[in-house]
Amino acid sequence: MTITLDHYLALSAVLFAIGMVGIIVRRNLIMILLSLEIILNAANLAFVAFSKNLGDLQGQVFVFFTITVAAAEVAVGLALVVALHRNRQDVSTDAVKELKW
Amino acid sequence: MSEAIAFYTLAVLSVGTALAVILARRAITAVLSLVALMFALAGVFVLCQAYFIAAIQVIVYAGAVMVLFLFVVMLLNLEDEALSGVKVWLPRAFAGGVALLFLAQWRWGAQGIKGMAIPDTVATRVGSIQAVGQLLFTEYLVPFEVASLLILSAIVGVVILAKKEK
Repeated sequence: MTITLDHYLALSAVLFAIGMVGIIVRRNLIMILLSLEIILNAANLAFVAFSKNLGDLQGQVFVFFTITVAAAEVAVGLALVVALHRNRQDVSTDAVKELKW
Repeated sequence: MSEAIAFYTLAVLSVGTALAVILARRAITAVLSLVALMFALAGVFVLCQAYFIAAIQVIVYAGAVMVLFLFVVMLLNLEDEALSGVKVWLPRAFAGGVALLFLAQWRWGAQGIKGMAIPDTVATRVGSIQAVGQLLFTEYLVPFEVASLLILSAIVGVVILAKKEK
């Protein structure tokens, strides 16, 4: 059974759905960031699958930039988590529901 | 045939580790499962002949970003998040329904994409380092340099955010 584009896209969709469920259900900020990483990886997989299917390398170049942006975003997000934990000793979303302390 | 075996193995591994990430009780279990997911996806990238991207995935994503996650998780020393109870299962079931809707839309929704199916026999340019590097340094040179600016701004932001206030 040959592996077609649909197989890769199905895996990407399943991973995307799992990441979405993770963001919705989890209350811990770090777990939400991890689920976000799953979603980004699913998108990268879709890019690479299309790049293979079309014989065009631009999809892989885009994945390169997506990984770069994801690394920067993770760094800033984790810095936010560290600052939040320092101020409130709690990183659950229940604790940060209001803007004003 | 061997490609099918490799793909299904890696697909099952990646879905299993992704489920382990969102269902884990401890944050450290979730982080390590996500590292395993990155490796599984790097294997899928190799199957798609994207060798450079697979290497970047392992080196940058699994090797630097996830290590950063590990640092923060160990630094914060979080308590285990309770996973039992109705309050947890109700939104989870709702989220599962949303996920199923996504999947159903993929399977039965976009008939137009299936209409103009692209044949899989197009000659693939292998994603070697030379080929991707050639694209990066000619056609995508400006985004490449802007990416370094982005990383610099992220570093400045992280230092400002995580600095201890006097």
